[in-house]
Amino acid sequence: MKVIFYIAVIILLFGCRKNLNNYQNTNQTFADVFNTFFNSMNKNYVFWDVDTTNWDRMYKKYSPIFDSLNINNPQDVKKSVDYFREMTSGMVDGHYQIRFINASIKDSFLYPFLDRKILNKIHIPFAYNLIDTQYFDSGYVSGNYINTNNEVVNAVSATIKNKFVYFSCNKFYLSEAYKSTKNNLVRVAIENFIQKINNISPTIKGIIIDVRNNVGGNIADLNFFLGKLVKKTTLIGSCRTKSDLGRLDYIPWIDVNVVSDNSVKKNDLPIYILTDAYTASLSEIFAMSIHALPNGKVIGEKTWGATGPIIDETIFNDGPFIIPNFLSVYTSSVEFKYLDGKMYEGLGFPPDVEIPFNIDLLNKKIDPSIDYIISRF
Amino acid sequence: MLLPRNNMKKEEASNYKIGTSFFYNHLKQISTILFFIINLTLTNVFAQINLHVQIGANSNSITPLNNTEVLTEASNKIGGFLSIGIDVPIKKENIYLSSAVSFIQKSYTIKRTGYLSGIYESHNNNYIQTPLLLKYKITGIKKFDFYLTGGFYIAFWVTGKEKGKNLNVYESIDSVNSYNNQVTSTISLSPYDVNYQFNNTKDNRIEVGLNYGTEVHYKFSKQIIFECGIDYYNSLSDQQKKYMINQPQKYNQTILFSMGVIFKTVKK
Repeated sequence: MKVIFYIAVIILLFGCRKNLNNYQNTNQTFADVFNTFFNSMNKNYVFWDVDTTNWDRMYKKYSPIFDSLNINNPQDVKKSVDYFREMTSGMVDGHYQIRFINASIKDSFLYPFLDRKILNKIHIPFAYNLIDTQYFDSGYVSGNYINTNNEVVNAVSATIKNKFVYFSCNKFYLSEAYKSTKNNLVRVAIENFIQKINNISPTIKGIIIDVRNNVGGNIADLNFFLGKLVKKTTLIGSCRTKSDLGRLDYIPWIDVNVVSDNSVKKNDLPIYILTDAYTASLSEIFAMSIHALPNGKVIGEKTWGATGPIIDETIFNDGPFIIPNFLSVYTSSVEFKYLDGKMYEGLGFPPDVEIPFNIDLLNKKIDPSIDYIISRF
Repeated sequence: MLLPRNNMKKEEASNYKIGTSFFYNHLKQISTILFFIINLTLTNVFAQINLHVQIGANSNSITPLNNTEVLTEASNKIGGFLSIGIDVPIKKENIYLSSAVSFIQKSYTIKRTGYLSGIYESHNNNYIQTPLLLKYKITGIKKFDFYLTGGFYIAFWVTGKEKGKNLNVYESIDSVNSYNNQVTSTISLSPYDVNYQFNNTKDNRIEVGLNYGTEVHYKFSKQIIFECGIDYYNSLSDQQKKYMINQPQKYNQTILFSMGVIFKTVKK
């Protein structure tokens, strides 16, 4: 029996810049900046066991280069951005980003994984919500909620041809919206969805969860929302964090479960989760979780490949960090390994049924993924 | 014989070798010393040999301490000790050459503090260890003899266990403050208790170090001596192989309290 010890913390996930701890370093020279960056990456980066970047080789090459730069020279400061870009170009972390604080380069931003996606010609995102409403039966609920990060969260609860219960959201802040003291239509959409699940009509053939273009959000939504669909607590994988200062110092793997919410009626209807190339972060965990269910299937494209959640550095002594007055690094705090023993960080989770992105059909307001599901019944 | 052991700075790991590398680098000198000891011992091979059995408990820590992590502290851990060995007299009963085969647990704990109290990780590591010591009798009072011991040891890290509790972020529950709409996440702790999986890139399973201590012997009878002692094992080898630049160091430092029985064989 698991021993439960409740710790009340403020956890900022997937957008936690404002709570990053400052690193104890004066950073008087570029050598200081470089060494702090190198050593912080040794300690904080959680993917050293799978990342192919030769970090020691980066030290040997760039340490003398940074030693020769003058931190008070704006030209050298601008040059440093390119060096940081080169050093981190191969990072496997799908979340990894560097934002620059130094005044000379505060508009500079590095996102190595996105750069590689663009080089590999990822398609542009598509606003499926603009065309999917034509599939919905009348009386669907759609609405917004402004979360504590001042971001717009949208959710839709609908039925399709009276055969499918459908739910989508653009970000996962459903638990926050549902429990918020402010009235909001996201809560109404969630309540509408729960009501449909609790009172399944005999004509309903399946459930569709649409996480295309969903960049993730608050990890509490995993059990809050998916817990309402799983019949029993379900193992979906394992996770671990760093345990010490070394690159390969980890704690053991800890099981990750989706905990069933027994307040909602369960059924054996097939659950389809729609994914695309921009299904990222917590949305990918949702896809993997539904794939783990006997009645779950992933439809669409391989996901983004950013499966590690991001927590304030204080909690695990890893993840995001700041070099004062120079840069901040946004990187995963936890390594996640799926039920099949594989890590999909940097790779993306493949669908059970691949529906390639087809801009021609989408521009004709035809959604191939929804059409595929409808065609099966 | 102690080499300086400062925290790694900008030096490349390959330029700073200690421990097992120290052993290999000084193999010629160590071999020479061993040759003389063995030669001296062999001339006394038919002399009186004492057998000893010891049990004990030790307090182990890992140094240097990691003081850079927030709300984190390392602490010593108690481990067990069991040893069977021999003492060979070199000069009457004033100087012995001593060796043994010992089982020793060298463990330590990392704990989180403050509002993160409850999170911890214990490393329980089991070694087979063999010392080679000189025991020198400094004085004797009535039936009591007092010895100083010094020498070196080699140990093999056989098995380990990791036990602890850590936050499982995937099992978090949100609550919202009704006054300011602030979100608080409550996360449960997940326990673990698993066998340690050795990593060939990282783990150095051979430990070499220095051993010094003191013993008190009580002559219970002509052939039985009770003894107790304190030993300090100072590892010269890092628990990890050098696999990264600016690698943190981990050295076992062990204080052992032991007691046992010495059986004196009869000289032929």
